[in-house]
Order: sequence, then structure tokens, then C-alpha cells
Amino acid sequence: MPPNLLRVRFLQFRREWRTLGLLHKGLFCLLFLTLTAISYSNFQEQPNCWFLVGGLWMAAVFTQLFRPDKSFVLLHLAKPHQAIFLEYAVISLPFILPALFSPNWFCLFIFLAGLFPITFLRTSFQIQTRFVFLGKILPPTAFEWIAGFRKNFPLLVVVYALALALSWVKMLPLLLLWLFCGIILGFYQFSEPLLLLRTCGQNPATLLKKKLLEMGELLLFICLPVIFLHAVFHPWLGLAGLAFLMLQFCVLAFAILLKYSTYEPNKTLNSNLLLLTFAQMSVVLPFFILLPIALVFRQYRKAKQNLTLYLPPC
Amino acid sequence: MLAIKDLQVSFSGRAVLQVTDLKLAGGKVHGIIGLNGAGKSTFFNVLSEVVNAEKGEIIHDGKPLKYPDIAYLETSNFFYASLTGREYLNIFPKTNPDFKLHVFRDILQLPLDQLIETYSTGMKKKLALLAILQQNKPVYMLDEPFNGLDLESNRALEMIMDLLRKKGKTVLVSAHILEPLLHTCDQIHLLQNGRFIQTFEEAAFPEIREKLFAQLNQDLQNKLGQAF
Repeated sequence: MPPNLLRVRFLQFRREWRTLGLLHKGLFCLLFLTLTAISYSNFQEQPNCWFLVGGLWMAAVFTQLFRPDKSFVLLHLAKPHQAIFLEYAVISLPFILPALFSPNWFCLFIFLAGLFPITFLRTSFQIQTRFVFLGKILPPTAFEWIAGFRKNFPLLVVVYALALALSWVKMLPLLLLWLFCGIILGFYQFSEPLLLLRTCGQNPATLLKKKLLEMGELLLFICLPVIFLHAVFHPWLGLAGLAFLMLQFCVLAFAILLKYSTYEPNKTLNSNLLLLTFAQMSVVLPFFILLPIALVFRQYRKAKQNLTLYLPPC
Repeated sequence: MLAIKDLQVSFSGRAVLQVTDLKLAGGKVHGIIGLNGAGKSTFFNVLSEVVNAEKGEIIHDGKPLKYPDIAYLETSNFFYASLTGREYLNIFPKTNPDFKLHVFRDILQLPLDQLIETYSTGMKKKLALLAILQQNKPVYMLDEPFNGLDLESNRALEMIMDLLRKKGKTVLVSAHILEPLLHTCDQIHLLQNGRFIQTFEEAAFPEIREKLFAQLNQDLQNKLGQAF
């Protein structure tokens, strides 16, 4: 029955929502309203409305190609295509419904008409072992980076290559590095099993120090070439590059500390994503520039305290 | 020698594990059996300090047992996504000088350069087992290690435990199926409702089945009689 899939999504959403604190709920609503407002403003004129429709179709295509429950849905649900269509339509509603209140109201119907054929895409991509060399060039204990690089390799390579190639353009390489580091923040969203945690450090302070130093070295290794080249072309912006590096280090340190302050073995820390997004935004927003430093100090104590539960003194 | 005295663990005020006095001889393989919910995993979790005991002491060779002394294979094995088997193993220290990865890879038929998410349940279990075997620890705790293993790996695991015993390690192993424990253990300890009620020496192993299922048989008979 088509509504079953929607009900599953509703239950999943409700469960996630309950795990969020008041602040996260507020931030989520804010982000949600902002995105709705952006889509409303884009629907007001052409060709922006078509870009938005195209973007939503692309998102649906990617979801359809990579969704892990496709075989299950097609095998066990009655009218599976209707079920998937309804699911995509309902999820897109907040971003497509504003079209009705614009001169380009017909975009809604065109979007829905184009959405239905997407549900018939049956191709699936098998998980393949790519970039085995990553395990050889990165230290084994930086498993977050190995796994994260493997997942995002093409995107990271493109962004980094652009940053290097466009180092003569004023500030753009730093913006691309900022994007690159934003992707790296996502590496710290999964809690490792207890066995791994205990292998990486025998007490909270040692573990955090090791993780922070390791991340610092890798970040330096990645960012320095771009910052150096940018400084060669724009010597008067050399200091800006160094300040960027410092702030980015603080944000990544915050990501590590946030992960360990909310650490529970084998858990995905989805609720940290919003705070991480805000921390990363603070690097480019002048009035928030001290936020990453403040966050690092605040989170270090919390992380140490939480880790004591899992790394009792020997 | 592993000596456990006056150990108590409670969840929400309910005592789930009470061990008054249990001595496990060193250099032996000890089976821990009990019906579902008897407290086997809690017992292992307390020993490895995943769960804190309210009171009691666990002494190993005269010193309090700490988690770095233990190699623990958990019932459910979780792995970090997007890593290959080899990358996962590389994270753990290789402190066991006799451990030869290429030999184990052949014995257990593990595709180490594939992503762990492509592994079957049994393969994941074998990978987790390799991660603890490459570490030199005095105590090895294997919580249901036979789950999901194929016949060859089952036999290999029995022989690995025998090898650990010969190297003087203390091995604690639990299983949902009695059979493999009868082949590998020196002693089997019966856990019922959070208490160790009896220890069986090898000669008394044939009696375990009767003791373990005595109450359950009666209950099942009554319930099945109503069901059909």
C-alpha cells in the first residue's frame, strides 16, 4: 500500500526529531524556513524556477539510484512506484509548493509529471572498493579521513584541483578550501566501535590530543600548498590565508571534540550536523569569527568528561 | 587465574548479575553458557569495563583486571564504514609476534582489500576475530564467536582456541549452541538468572544439556501443547 512508505519515513523523522534538543529543533526550523523562502523567491522569475525544478529532479534521480531499500520496496510493497512517487513528492513539497504562489505556478505540475518516471529507474550501483591507496598514504588511526576521502574522493579532488589551479584569483582558492574543509567536517559524524576507541587512546586526554594533532598535521599538509600559492600571487593576502588556516583548524578541532562529547559506540551523530554547519559558516562570517575558538574551549571539557565513561582509568 | 568475588550488576534497580565467588583457572578455555537473558553478555561487558559493576572485584594474576588486558570479541560487530578489511586491521596494534596475517587470510578466506560493508555476517565476525588475535593479551573473551561462521571457519575457530590455550592464554567463550563448546572447553560454567550455579568438568559435559534445559523443557511442552 503506498502510504506505508510515507508512514515509515514519518516514524523515522519523528524518532530523529525527539533526539534533538531545543536549540537543534530551532536551528532546523530556521534552516527549513530559509530554504522554503529561497525556493519561493526563485520561483518568482525565469529561468531560476527551471533551475530549481531541475535541481529537485536531480536530487530525486540520485536518491533513486543510490537508495539501499529499492529491491525491498519493489519486491514487497503493493504499487511500489506509486509509493516511491508519493515519498519523493511529499519530501519535495516544502520546496516545490511555493511555486503555486508565484507567476510560474505550472512548475509544480511539470515537476510532478517529471518525477513519476524517475521512480522506474531500477539501476543500482554496487559498492566497490575504490582508492585502496588511501590506506597506504594516510595513517591507519586516521580512519575517519580514509573512509571520508573514499566516500567523497571525486568531489574533493575537483575542489582541491580548482583551488590550486585558480590560486591566482583573489580569495577564490580560500573559498574553495573552505568548501573542501566543510566536506571534511562530515567525516566526524560517525562514532567508532568501542574497540577502536580504546585502541586509539587509553585515556581521554591522550586520545583527544592524538586526534587533534593528527588532524592538524593532515590539515596543514592539505591547506599549505594552496595558501602558499595564493600568497605568491597576492602577497598582501598572505596573512588572510594564515588566519583562515587557524580558524579552520579551530572548526575541525570543534568537530572532533563535538563528536567525542556526544560519543556513543557505533552511533551516527546526525544531530551534530547543524552545529557543525554553523561552526563552518563562522569562518566566513566576520561577526562570528571568534565563535570557533570559543566552541573549542567549551567542547574540550565536555568531550573529556564523556570519554571517561568509555575509557576508565587503567 | 581469574578470580571474581562479590560482583553485582543492576539495571534500573534490578540485579542482573551476581557472582559470589568464581575462579577461572589460567591457560584454560572456559565456556559460559546460559539461556537467553541469563547474563552472559553482561558478564563479558563487566569484565571488559563496558558496563560498570556496583560492587565486587575481578582479579587477574593478583592484580585488578583492566580492559587493556582483555581481547574482547563482541556478539555484534560494528565497523567503521568505507574501510577495507586490511585498513581496519591496521588500526589495531600488532603486538602478537606469532600472528601471520597472510596465513589467517588464507585459512579464513577473507577478501581483505574489499570494503567491509560488502562482507557477509560470518566474514565480519572473522575480521573482528583477526583484530583481536593480532594483539597479545593474557585474556581472550569471545562472545558467541560461532555465530554466522561456515563449517570450515567453525573448525578453524575451535583450533584457534586450542592454540590460545597452548600459548597459556585464558579464554572465555560463550555460545548459543552447546555443541562447539563441548569440543573446545576445559570447563563449562552454567549461568542462570544472573548467577553461576554450576561448573562442569570435561567428564561431566554430558550432563549439561539436561541441567540447562530442565526447566525450559517443561515450560515449552506446556506452551506448545496449547499452541497446537
